[in-house]
Amino acid sequence: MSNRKQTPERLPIIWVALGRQRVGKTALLNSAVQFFRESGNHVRVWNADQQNKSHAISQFFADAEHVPEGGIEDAKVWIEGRLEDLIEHRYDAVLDVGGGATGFTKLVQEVPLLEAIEGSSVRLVGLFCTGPERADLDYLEQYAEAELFMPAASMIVLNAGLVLSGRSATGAFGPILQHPAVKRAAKAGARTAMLPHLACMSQVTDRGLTFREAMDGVQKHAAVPLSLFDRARVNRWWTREIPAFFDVFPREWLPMGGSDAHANLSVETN
Amino acid sequence: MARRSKDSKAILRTLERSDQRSPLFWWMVDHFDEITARSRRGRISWASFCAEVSRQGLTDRDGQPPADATARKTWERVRAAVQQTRAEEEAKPPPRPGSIYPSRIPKDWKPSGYRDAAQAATKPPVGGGEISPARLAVRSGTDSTLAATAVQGAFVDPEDPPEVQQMFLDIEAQLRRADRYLGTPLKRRTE
Repeated sequence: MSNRKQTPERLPIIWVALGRQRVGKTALLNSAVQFFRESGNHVRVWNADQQNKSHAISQFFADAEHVPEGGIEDAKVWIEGRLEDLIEHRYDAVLDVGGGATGFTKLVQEVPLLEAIEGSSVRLVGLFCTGPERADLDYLEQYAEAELFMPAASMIVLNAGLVLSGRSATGAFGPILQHPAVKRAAKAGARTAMLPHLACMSQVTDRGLTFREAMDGVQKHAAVPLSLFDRARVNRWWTREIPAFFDVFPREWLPMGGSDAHANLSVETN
Repeated sequence: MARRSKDSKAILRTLERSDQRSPLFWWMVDHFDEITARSRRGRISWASFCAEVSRQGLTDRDGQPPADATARKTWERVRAAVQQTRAEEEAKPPPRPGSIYPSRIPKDWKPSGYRDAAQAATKPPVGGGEISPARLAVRSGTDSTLAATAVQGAFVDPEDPPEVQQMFLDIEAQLRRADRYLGTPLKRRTE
């Protein structure tokens, strides 16, 4: 558990994944936490997803802190407590809020959360996850247009894993990129990145493996190791496509360990 | 067989992964061709099958190790779902750019981002080089999805600030790289 002090230039960072259910929020954060931890930053993991049990982010990280059983109000109070702790102790964390009506949505409706967090010298990175469906943008529209929650550091993440077979990513995400909500967000400073598709993602997560373990052929819980080709798929995805994905993020948005982490990241993609 | 298996997996990915189905159901969907091939070689022993899948942690909808009858019925449901999905996929017309062939696109057609091609040509985006009217032409080897996205810079609005234009060019480049890697077929016109 890292409580390391931040340099004055380096603000504590919290990543919050937003979007409707099944757009890949947990998959994104799972990948991100593994990536950041491999870089040497033991970011904290907060699971406030009260709906998703079998593939909750807590399933992937034994040290994840998760919201206690209860209702939306309980989740809201828990998230508030976590945020206050982060502001006080200055560390990095990722927050999986889940989809639908959540404690987080209640919190942003009740208090000017952005001002409170960013005013406390904490960088909040909002990750708006979307597939190619128009309805996937509901969160972005709702949060941005009502000025509820649109962090200065916002990334619209296009999840290529949700593109139906036979469609091109360019064609599938065309209507999303031309949507007024995305245009408006871009003008407000939001960036976009495409989360690459891993065909055997469920083969990895169902086995409770990290991506590095999967590509190295590690066997856990007496499950059959990944096939040779799936290992090769994970290898390519984890060592080339995922670094390229994070390379799109501005350096100051990444809770990476080490001062030259971003430079290493670029080298690895070559 | 390899080709068939690849095609099957592509079709099966189109099945919506509903939580209403059990892990056993989705495992059977993922291994549909293998189970089908095995069943052709002789009767499946559901008792042995259940013992093995239970050992690997697969469960029925209630989270319990599947019983023989449950596994057999689940397999029947999987077969029905897969066959229906395949039939629907086969019934679909071949994909093409919306309902408009490139040859039918009006000569003065412009992607929505380009309200004024002349303006675009005289106002190059940052870092992206000059946008010439030639870039607006739909290429003969076009993507098989949307004509509107078949041109470079389709998402760029020249009235946007340079950094926003650059952002849309960057994401477009990412998407196109993914399409090349994924092997989206670039169909040539045969007419």
